[in-house]
Amino acid sequence: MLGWEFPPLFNGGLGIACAGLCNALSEFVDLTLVVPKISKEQIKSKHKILGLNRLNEEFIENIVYEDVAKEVEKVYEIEIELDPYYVETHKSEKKTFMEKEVEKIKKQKVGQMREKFQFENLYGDDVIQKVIFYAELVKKISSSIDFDIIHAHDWMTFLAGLELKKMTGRPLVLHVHSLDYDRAGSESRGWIYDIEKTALNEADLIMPVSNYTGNILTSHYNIGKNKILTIHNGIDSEKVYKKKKSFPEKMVLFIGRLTGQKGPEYFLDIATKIYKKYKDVRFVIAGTGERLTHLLEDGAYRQIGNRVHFTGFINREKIKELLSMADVYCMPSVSEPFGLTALEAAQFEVPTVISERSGVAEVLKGSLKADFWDIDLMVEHITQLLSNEQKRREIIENNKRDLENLTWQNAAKEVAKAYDSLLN
Amino acid sequence: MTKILLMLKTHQPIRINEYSFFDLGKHKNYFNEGLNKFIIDRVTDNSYLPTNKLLKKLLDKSDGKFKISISLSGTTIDQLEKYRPDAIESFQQLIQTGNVEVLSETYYHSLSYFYSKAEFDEQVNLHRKKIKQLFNVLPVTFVNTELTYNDALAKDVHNLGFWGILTEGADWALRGISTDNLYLGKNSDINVFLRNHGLSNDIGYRFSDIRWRHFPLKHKTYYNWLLKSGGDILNLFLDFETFGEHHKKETGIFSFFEKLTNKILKSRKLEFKKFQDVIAKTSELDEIQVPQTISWADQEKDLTAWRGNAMQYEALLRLYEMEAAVKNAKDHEILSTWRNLQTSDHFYYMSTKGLTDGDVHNYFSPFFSPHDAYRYYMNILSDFEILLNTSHRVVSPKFG
Repeated sequence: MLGWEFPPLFNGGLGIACAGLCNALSEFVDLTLVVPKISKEQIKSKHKILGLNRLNEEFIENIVYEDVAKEVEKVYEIEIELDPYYVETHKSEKKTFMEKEVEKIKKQKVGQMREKFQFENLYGDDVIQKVIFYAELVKKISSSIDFDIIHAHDWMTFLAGLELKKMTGRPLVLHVHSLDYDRAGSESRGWIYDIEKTALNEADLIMPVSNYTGNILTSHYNIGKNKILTIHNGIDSEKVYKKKKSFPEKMVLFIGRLTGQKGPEYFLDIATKIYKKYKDVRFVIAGTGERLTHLLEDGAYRQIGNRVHFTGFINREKIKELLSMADVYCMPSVSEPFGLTALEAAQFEVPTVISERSGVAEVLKGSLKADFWDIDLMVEHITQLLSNEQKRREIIENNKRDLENLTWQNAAKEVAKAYDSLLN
Repeated sequence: MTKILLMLKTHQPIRINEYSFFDLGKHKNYFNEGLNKFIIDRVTDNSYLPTNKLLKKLLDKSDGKFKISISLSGTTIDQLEKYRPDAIESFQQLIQTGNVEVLSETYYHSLSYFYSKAEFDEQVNLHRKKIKQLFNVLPVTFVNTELTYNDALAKDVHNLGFWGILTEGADWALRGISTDNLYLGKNSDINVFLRNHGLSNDIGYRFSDIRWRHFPLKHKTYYNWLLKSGGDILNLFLDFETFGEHHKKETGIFSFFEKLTNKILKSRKLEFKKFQDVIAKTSELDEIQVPQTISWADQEKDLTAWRGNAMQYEALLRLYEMEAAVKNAKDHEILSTWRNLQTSDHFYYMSTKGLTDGDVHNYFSPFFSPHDAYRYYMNILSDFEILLNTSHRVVSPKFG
């Protein structure tokens, strides 16, 4: 299993979904997950998990291919700053000019590589280098792992998946949590698209997290329906609680990265319309992203800055706290492959109003829905939920019912079944 | 003789906390006590005490020839009383000499004039009372927040009993008239003093700029510039914190000033004066016309340093919207909190201007970005609104 984000270090939907699936899937198959970065405590998980930032010596020794081992060793040792290899080379005196140059380049390269996973951000301007480095490293350590199926999550790991398939001939399963299309729209034709397209063509089986994403795969990426199998995300049961707000107004909540794809601008439109009519409501925009400053200024321009509150970046605990206080959750995404937060809102018994263009709309059948651009309908739904207790209860109950089947175990069963048919 | 009118302006805002959404309705402390105390301590030690020591020395030995004017905002006084009474004492000692004029201003260093005349009047009176109580003097000269000024304001200030008002020599609004003469406000008897920004900024802004071609500035050079101006008066208005804070002691600012002052005291062409000494009641002076508001901030020298973008505009609007509710609450603490939120600095931090003006905004701002400044400020206003509404519920359409 090839993953990219992994909680608790990275808490995007991708990381959470990947962790949820792996956890459940380890009941059915022997699973090794490789991710760029994990924290200490994660080494004890149900399945085997390798964080490239924490490859240990034992593991490296197990790698049979010697040159490869050396390469990896370099990376590992530099990271903990206890590198006997370099100490030696510094000490050894007689070196040719050429050798010195090579050392210099190697050192530089390793230094750069080290930096790749020493960061807060798994993406950034040099994400392509991180992706290539990840693929190289995965290829090198794969010889020490016994596996029958390659399962890669999103484009960041697709390259590694492709390389592994080429090297070993094992079937390649691609798990699609989001596509370049979601971020760039129908104009999407960049190098990320190219990686996606190549991998999708080569894959033996593709698992989008929703039919919505499945349809994009067939329409925008021109992939045959026969190798697409939708696996809806599940959700782990959560200890939910209710917290009394310390202010009297109702609270409408938006959670997500502040990028065009998530539709925060539409949320601002919705807030503006509602606030025109009703004064005792507050809107909370939780999360951060490149649209934050623009949204703050836009809110001020509309003069609703006293009713729209921006939390900035917040951690999981704070997100739960928001969910425990909210009266309505609104997800006006422009393109949302799934939308795990909507499920979390449902768990916290917050009635939901969600974009039709989302995967979660397929599973939260009883939630209120609208097209992201249909501000009036969104406003109507939200005001109804705020003012009509019966409607509110109805949506909460609908969501509860829908949640019952949405377990990772169900998802994992489907995945395991698909593995079987690939191998037989 | 050219009269030098040197005015030093102290101001320290009561800076706000990074108030989180999660504290909305919890009425936590809006003001960052730790940071404010830290800055008051630093400025007192770097600037107020050493500068006052030097000024006292010059006042004492000049036999009444050295004269200056000082303005102290109410928020500065409040914080000095709380954290550094020794600084208050040092100001009292200066003012007792009789050669230091104390100016009047809005207590909270606010932009209240542009939002509420009633609130403006109250703040001016509050400040007047405080100055009387602390220093036993009654100011006759007024300086509005950050030298903001327009025709109507001058007239209103005159009606409050002041005879002089200070403002910026804002080139764009003054149509080429010299700052080095005394003027009358439009349709008013109030005397208007225009800041000579070139000579003021040579000390206030450029003194420690190593890229400046006159760096390091010698007192003799500057003295010659003063001589060359040749007007009736020379209005040098500076931040008090210029001495020791903006320009640290190591830049030589104190010895520069001491030497310069001694040179002026010996001069037969220059003399120090207070505003009240030169205020003329005759109408022989030219009238100036400033229909639009000017100030001493940024390139624009208007209100855009505090009200140039939507965030600033909204924050100010929301703040002053609360006036009636605040005053109806008849609660001293609520009133003083609201007033401390009026201090212009809060809005100054929200400015999104760039280049060197942006640098100045950033130099003063305790926040990471103007957007953060706005975000925290609005959270505080929201919390404050909730506080107000618990006793004075605003009637509006409500959800069931």
